[in-house]
Amino acid sequence: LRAAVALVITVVVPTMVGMRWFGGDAVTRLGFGGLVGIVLAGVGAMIAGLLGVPAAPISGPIAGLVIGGLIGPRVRLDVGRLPPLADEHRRLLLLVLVIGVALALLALARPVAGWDGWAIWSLKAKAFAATGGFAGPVFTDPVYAYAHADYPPLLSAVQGALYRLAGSTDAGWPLQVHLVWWWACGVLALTGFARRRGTAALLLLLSWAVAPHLVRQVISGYADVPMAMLLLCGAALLSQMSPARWAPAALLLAGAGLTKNEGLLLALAVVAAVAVWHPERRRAAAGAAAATVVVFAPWAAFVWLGEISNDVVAGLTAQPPVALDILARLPVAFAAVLREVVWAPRWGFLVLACSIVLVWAGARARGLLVAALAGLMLFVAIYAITPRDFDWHVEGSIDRVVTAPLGLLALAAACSVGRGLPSRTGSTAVPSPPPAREGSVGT
Amino acid sequence: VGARASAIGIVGRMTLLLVGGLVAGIAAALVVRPLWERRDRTVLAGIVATTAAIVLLGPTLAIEVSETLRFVRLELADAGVPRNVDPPLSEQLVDAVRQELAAGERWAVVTPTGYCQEDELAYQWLAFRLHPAPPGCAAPDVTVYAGVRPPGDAVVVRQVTDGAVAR
Repeated sequence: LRAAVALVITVVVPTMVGMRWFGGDAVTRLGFGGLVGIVLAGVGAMIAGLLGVPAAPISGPIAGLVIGGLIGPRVRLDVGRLPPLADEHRRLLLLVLVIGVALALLALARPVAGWDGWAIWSLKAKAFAATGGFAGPVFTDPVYAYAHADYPPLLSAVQGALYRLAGSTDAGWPLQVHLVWWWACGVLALTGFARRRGTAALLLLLSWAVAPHLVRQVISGYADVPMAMLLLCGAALLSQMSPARWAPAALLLAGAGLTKNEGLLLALAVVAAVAVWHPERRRAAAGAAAATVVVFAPWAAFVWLGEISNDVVAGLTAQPPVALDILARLPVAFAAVLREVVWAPRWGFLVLACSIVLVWAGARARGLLVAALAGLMLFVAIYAITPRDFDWHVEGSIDRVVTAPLGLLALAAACSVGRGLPSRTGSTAVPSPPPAREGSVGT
Repeated sequence: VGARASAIGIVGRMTLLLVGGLVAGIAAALVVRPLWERRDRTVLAGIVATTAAIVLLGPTLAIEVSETLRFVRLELADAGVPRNVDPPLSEQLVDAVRQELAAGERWAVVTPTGYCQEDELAYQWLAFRLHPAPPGCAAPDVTVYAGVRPPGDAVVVRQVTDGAVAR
């Protein structure tokens, strides 16, 4: 019972606080607000843990949420009103609801299922819950080297708070249900965002959000989908909503950076691409970049001062790669990533649809498209220089790491159809609702 | 017997995938059918992608249901194990070593695959299950023998059907 109460608290309270950051329709606020609340709680927990504040897994999130609740109304972004729910949209959303309920029911009966889920993220959550900080053996003792102590702690900090509130670390189901909630917030936010742009945008973003390979990850305990949800929602707000109200986008992108190392690189790629391709949003992009760096800085300082090494960086330092080897590996790494994204049962259907839309409607959201491609190229580069066994590294991670860049691709395609896209020089604030049945999407 | 069981497993799995795909296909048809009237290519591209995602999601969810039932059957509440892989230790043995470990003590694990990190799954899985007790393979206070007979000089303090805990 206590675990169930803890779960409800960690879902409801952050969402209520996060919703203070948004105005407009309730459903979209719920989605974006839920994610903002999670980031506020996680950042609070991390900072309290790093500073050695007593009972950090509890006091940290409370402090983060109180501060976030006070800041929220001052930086509030109005996400506008949703158009009336068309019948075709109602059917789609009903199906997504069914999928969400199915996932939640499965999560109720599951432990933390994925190997990396328990060996990395949930192990660190247990350690944070037990010690109240990041100085325990899991983060410092070489016997836990496989747990990658340097990986950013947002997910583990949030899960640690949940473990601590639940009063036990023996059950994985609260964490699993929380991850489903995390996914659901992203879906609510993205579908609310997409519905304003019309059916094509909704279909493209939904086909990413319910892609089988993504859904499987949701109930595996991995950090890839949480990071992708924060990244996409931050990117959607930064590139499409009022540039004067950039704080929610900045916080979400910072959260993505604090969830996974590649999340930091992808968030910065989004920010850079938006700054270059949407000059009217440069100030917002600069704010988002600053927020991402500032939020990540305490963790980076902890890793640096604690001499916690990243296995890839340490391997490269110990044995610098030869340029010729990298050049030889590049085509192989490129082919591996290409195979993954065009293989129909995984992502091929989405990539094909996005390509058609981008060609037909024109890549109007070029910043997002460039960020998506840069994200994929980032992993090509990582695989080309990896000091780990190439095949092992690729096979063990490629299916998960492409999730976020392909989400950006779907977002770029979705933003290229429908209405509400700001011009390069203009500054469209809140997108206006499209007609109930748009007949000329993309014009 | 093994081949027959394997064949039944394959048939069961295929049936599961087919049923999942069929149910998802019907759901997809119901959801996207009204949209087929559209003549807009961007909407049609979206319909194809969404239909494919939903149809493929059916078998995926069916597999996950099957996996979840397996976790329930194995009484795994904390950490799962990879598909088609048995838990490295029974819950009985995990409970036994938990009861034996005192605060501050370290442990090591021996399985048919090897000692500590030689069996990556057993080592990492047990490290998660036994946290906050850390592994200490160089000088363990407690050694867990899973599916392996303890050596003659080991002092067995707890014995269960599939293993033993020794000091």
